[in-house]
Amino acid sequence: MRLSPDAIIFWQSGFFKINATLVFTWVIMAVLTAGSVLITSRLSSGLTRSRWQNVLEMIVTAIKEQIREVGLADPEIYLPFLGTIFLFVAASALFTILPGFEPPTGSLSTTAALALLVFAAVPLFGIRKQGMRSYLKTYMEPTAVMLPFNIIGEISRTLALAVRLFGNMMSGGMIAGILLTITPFFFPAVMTLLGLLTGMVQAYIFTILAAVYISAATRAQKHSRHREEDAST
Amino acid sequence: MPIDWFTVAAQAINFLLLVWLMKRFLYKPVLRAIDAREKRIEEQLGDAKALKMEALKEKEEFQRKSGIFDRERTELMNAAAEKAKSEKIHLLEEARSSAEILRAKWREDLERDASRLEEDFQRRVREEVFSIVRKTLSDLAGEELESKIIDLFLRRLGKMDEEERKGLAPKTMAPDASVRLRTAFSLTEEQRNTIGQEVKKLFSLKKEPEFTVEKNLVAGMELSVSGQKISWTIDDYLLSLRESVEDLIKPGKKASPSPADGGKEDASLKGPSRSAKNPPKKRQTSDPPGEEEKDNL
Repeated sequence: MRLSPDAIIFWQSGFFKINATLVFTWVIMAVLTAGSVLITSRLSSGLTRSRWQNVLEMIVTAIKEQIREVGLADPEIYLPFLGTIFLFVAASALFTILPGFEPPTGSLSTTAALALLVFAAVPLFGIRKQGMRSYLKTYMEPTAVMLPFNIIGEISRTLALAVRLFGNMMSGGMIAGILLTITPFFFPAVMTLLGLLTGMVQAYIFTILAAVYISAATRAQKHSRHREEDAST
Repeated sequence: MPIDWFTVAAQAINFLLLVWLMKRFLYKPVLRAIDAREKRIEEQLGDAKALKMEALKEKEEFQRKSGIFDRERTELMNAAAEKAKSEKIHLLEEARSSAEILRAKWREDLERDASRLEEDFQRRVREEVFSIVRKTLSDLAGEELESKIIDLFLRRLGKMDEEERKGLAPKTMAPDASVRLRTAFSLTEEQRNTIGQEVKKLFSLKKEPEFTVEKNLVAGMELSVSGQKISWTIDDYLLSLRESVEDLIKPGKKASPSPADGGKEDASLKGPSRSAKNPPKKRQTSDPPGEEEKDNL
């Protein structure tokens, strides 16, 4: 039984290969980009606008509001990264309703890549916000003894992020496959529906967790600064 | 569960590419549109607020003006009412005065009509009285009365002294002037001779007087000599009476139009009857030779 679309390889030349994960990722990229281009080419800044523009604005503002609610003061900075995570994961889950579509997020390689990106983005946004020194100092909070634990915590949560998404996405497809072999026709459809829901939930969770991590990295400095201020006074 | 590291790397690149694409084609334009709209809405709200403020200001201004207008209107209304009142009083006054004038005129007309009527009445009464008197006297008159009158005439002439006779005679009378004697009835030969002699003696005349009968004289005689006339006739009496009556009525008419003065009218009517006893000595006639005199014998 196949667990990951990575196993479907269309073309391979040594280390390089084109598997289903990449192909379906490109499909999603193409659809998202084309849709965006199509809709935003006729954007209206007036009071009347097309329903598609309305949908897009709704999605974008909703993501923005979510990021703000997590605690990031300037959502515009984080919107492209976090918003794209959400859109990509949600689109992967949504497209599962298309027959023959394998969600790229059902591949551990994809979720690992996403998790690694979040893993890289957290310190990057942290450093960008508060500077290298200040950011690195947060790893030695509250004391230098905590440095290894902090590093382990950082890595483990990235791993958890990747595995959580992979497990959920993969399980959705897996359950559908299993049910299809046991009870054909009706249940798989219901399970696909359920998979759609869990996919959306996972997209939300992944994005929110990434936002929380970034928020923690950018906010840590604030805490330390507050502490410094308290000490000085 | 193997992890394909090539796929991981490729997916990472793919994702970063997707982030760039999304940023380029989705987030930026959408956020820009939203910002533009918000800005626009804000501007419109600002404009609306400004307009509202302006409207409020204008409303206040309008209310202020409306208040002023109301006040002015009330003042104007009051002034108009006051003016109308005074105009009404003025018009009433005018109407009253014109009514007074009309009434006075009407009263004057009425009085004039009444006095004209009265005058007319008096005139007719007078004429009637005179015609009756004339008729009565004419009826009474006769040769007998005539002869009595002539006797009286002659007796009076005889009683006159020289001075009086000269006074009666015209100053510039020629001795051959013709003398005319008019009587109401024809005289007897004897009467004619007596009168002729008396007259000739009176005026120192040579010519015999000429006798004519004139019925209009009623009774009595009239003597004309050199353009002068001496008469004693009923007709003359009546004429004198009429003249004196009219002389008495004329001033009385102006002075006493009211009924309270009616007594004066009566007095004036009575006047001629008294004065008839003493008719005037001379009167103007229309005869061409000039001034004529009439003696009251």
